[in-house]
Amino acid sequence: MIRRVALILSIVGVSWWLFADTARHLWGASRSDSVIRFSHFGSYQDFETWKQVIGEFESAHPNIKIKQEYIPGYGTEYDNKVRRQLLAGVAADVLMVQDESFPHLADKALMDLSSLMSQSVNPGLQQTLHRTAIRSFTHYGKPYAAPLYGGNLLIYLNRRCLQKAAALRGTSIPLPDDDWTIEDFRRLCRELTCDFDGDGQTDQFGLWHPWWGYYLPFIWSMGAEVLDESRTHWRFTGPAAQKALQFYADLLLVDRVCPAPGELGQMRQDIAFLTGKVAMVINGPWFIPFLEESSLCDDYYVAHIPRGLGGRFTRVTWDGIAINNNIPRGRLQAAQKFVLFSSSERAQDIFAGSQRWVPARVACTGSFSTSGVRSGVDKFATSFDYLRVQPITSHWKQLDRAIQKHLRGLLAGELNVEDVLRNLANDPVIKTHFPLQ
Amino acid sequence: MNDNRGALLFTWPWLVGLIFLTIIPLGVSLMLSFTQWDGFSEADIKWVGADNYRQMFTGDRPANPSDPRYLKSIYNTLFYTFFAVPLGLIVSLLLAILLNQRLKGIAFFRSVYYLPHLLGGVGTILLWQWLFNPDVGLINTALQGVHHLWVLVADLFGTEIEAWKIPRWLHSPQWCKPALILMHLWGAGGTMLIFLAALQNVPERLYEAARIEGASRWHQFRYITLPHISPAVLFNVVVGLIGAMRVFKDAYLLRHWSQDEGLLFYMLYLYENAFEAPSRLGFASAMAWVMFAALFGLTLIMVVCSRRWVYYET
Repeated sequence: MIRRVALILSIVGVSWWLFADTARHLWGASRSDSVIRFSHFGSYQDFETWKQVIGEFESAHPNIKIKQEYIPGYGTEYDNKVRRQLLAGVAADVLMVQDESFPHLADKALMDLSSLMSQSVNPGLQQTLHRTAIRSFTHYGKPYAAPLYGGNLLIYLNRRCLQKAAALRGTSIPLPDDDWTIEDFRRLCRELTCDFDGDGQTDQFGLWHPWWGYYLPFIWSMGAEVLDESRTHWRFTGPAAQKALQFYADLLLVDRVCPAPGELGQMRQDIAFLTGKVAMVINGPWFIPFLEESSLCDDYYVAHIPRGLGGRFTRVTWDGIAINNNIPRGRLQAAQKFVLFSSSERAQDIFAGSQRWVPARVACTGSFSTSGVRSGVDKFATSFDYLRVQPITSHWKQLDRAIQKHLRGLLAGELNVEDVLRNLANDPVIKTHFPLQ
Repeated sequence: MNDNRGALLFTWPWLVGLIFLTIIPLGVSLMLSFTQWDGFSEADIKWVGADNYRQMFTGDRPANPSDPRYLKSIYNTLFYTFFAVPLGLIVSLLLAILLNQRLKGIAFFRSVYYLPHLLGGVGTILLWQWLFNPDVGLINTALQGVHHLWVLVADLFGTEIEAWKIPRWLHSPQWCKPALILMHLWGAGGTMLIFLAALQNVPERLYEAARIEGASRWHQFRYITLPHISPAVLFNVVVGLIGAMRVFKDAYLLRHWSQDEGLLFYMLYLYENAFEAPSRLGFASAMAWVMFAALFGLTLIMVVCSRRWVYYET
């Protein structure tokens, strides 16, 4: 009898140990409906900023608790993690999303926020947000995420590099003015490229050669386009595209103002800029906190994108907040409240104050500028006058891969611009998903 | 009967795991391999028959024209397997023979050579990443030293030498796979240990008899050692082949540096299809089954062929 009881007890014990959590997940309400899981990405500064936002939300809504789930890493890493969580049915109730991955998730995994966006604080959330931000999270006419904040690309300049180059040349090199042109930019790149010890090796490069996505502002400013406005047709052809691509290659191969891939070892652009190996980088506002905590904090400058024949444009990317489509109905209301709070002026001011992002709410853009102490940082807000959304599509990743593949031949000096443009237009990915108009 | 009950009692947790975590997922993945699905909603699962398999083999890829990458992943995987497995076996066997000597402090050396196998993981891969740094990495720093010495010697003798380029390892499409093979060889300790155990099981009396008969060292190795360790060779070949064909972790961590998708291996491409946007779980499942069939077939061939060269002492 005792043996039988012991046997049953051991079976029950082992079963509990093996399956209790799964059973709770599948059938039980493991958490109270007032606890909302929220996952986000970013740096530790983002983590701290979110902590502050969550703290304020919980003070305003004492009956709701937010479980902050920080997923380290950016972009693809976060996106992949969230996709795996969604596949496994364990994704958070509220998710941060990026515009690049948004088209893949929108109507599949995220909740339609149409009613939430329209019922928002007077005069309505839609009217108080940057137009490009709303567009980034609209899928077939419906908003599936509320825009939070974004970042546009401008040019960072290491003033120490400028001074060293000026000393070498025995002349002063002025900081770029707000209305500079692409020719001025090219001249500055050349002036900043220096061989200090005369050994024939470049000790300081003028510019970090940007990934094509970061070069988009130049492509647009030169009057070319990669995709059309509807983001369904290939437009990177013609003389303007040739000129833009030639300039991209010349920076590396003719002017030699950029380090070749691997020329600085495994040094990334942030370290290359910090150590003065390159004098200028194209980057977004998320670079500011890194610089502010470095020894370069007093010696960097932010310049506008130079003007070209096509005018002046900068590329913006947006991050948003969305609700998991599979959220239990009992938690939906609390999740909606958190989404609305994240888009509120109070939360947007907190985001602006972190100076990593420009808030999506137009009225809070000023908070970003006034939080800045360094010269030129406010340009991230003022350059919103010439914003443009990057060509995000549901085939973004394949497009990126295809473009990079063809550009590699150009940057290795194996193909000329005409060949690359022709190859791009004939690439199977581009031909299938983005036919020429 | 009582024995069976007892056995079931102790094995049921494992059996449950086998059924729910292995057999059922296997069945589901087989079913998924005949579908098109992005993994979000069961309602979106679309039955496509053998389309996923056809796409792999016929080159007719209307659904996703980026699939030439599939061929690239096969080429990279075969290249890696073709060099990593034989080289790994040779290096481990040589090490095992070396460490099978009766020397003072041999236990220390055995531990030293086995240690890298224990240390294998993400940390060591990141360490190798720095060793392979083309400009400041230790490997190229040493190679530069050799290069300078070579130039110096050539100058001394007044001969012209052909300039050679120091490899850029992970940054080069030609050298990234050899770099990974080199990394693989560093962890040869595990295979070495199996060879060492097999070597120690070879009866000493056979060597004595052979020596009396005047057999050379090579003949002793060829006709005594090799047949006796042949089961270990077979085991290491099969395990090495399966491991090499499934190479993933190293490539996943180091792929950012590689040019021209030099590190796009089969399993990495499978992972990309399954878990990176745009998700193609059906195609990824089909890839997994093709890999399973290939490995099963190769293992079967090796086991059948092994009857000719593997010697089991009865």
